Amino acid sequence: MKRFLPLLIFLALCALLARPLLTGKDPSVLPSALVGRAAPALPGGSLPAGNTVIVNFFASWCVPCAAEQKVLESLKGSADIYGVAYKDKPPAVKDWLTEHGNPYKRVDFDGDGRTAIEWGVYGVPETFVIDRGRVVYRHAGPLTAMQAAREIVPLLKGGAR
Amino acid sequence: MRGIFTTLFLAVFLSTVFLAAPARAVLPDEILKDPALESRARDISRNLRCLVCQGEDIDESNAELAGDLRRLVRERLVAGDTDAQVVEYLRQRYGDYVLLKPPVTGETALLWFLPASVLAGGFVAVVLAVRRKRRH
Repeated sequence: MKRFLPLLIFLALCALLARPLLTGKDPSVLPSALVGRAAPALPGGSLPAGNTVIVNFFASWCVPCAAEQKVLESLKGSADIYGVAYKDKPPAVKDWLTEHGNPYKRVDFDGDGRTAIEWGVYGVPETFVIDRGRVVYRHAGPLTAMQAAREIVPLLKGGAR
Repeated sequence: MRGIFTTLFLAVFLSTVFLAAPARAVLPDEILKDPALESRARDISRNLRCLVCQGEDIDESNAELAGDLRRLVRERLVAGDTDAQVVEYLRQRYGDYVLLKPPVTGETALLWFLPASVLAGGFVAVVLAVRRKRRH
């Protein structure tokens, strides 16, 4: 038994280190401190209290955001999407939305990036699901169709809408 | 003669390497007029992680978000927050991850205590091994 102790320790260490590799968790994706808490205000006013809504931080200068617009378009039938244009100007956003599609019910402007800090955003795009005023989900980076179907759609069905 | 030059070169080289201040990203227009507040802002910034670059603190990062956070830290200090309040403000929004020195929690216990316990375990193993050898 004693002879095998180093081997056992080694195997236990392997298992510990292999777990994050095999589960495919991206270590650069950060946990959100906001999930479970009340959603901060948006520059354009508060969010409707009764519904499940989506809040999406984007920018016209953000390349991955353009790819995400199609995915957001597919979600806008199930929930209202509130867009927040991060460090952007209205004319640029208007042109960009004409080109890539406008899935938003309302677009707010966060010119100095202060709203993004309130929301714990560290880069665009970021997407939040708000259920009755509480943050229930956060996704950093562009949403793929698969992620939207797997992670966001179930949350919207559970909502009040 | 050559010896003197070599010594001189080495002295200059080593002093540039070791005496140079680390590069900081703080821009002139961010710096506060009150040196006491500015030095507190620097101390706080050095313990806050830049969330874009993830390996740098916000005092040395050139990322735009780091600049915004540096400005925010200074604003809160000017408004009269204590150092702890400023850090807590950011922790509320970005989580423990924003702290370069993570607090001891269930999740980070392994990180904090594993090195010391491995060292202690090694020490115990050595003591046991030595004792046994003496007995034989």
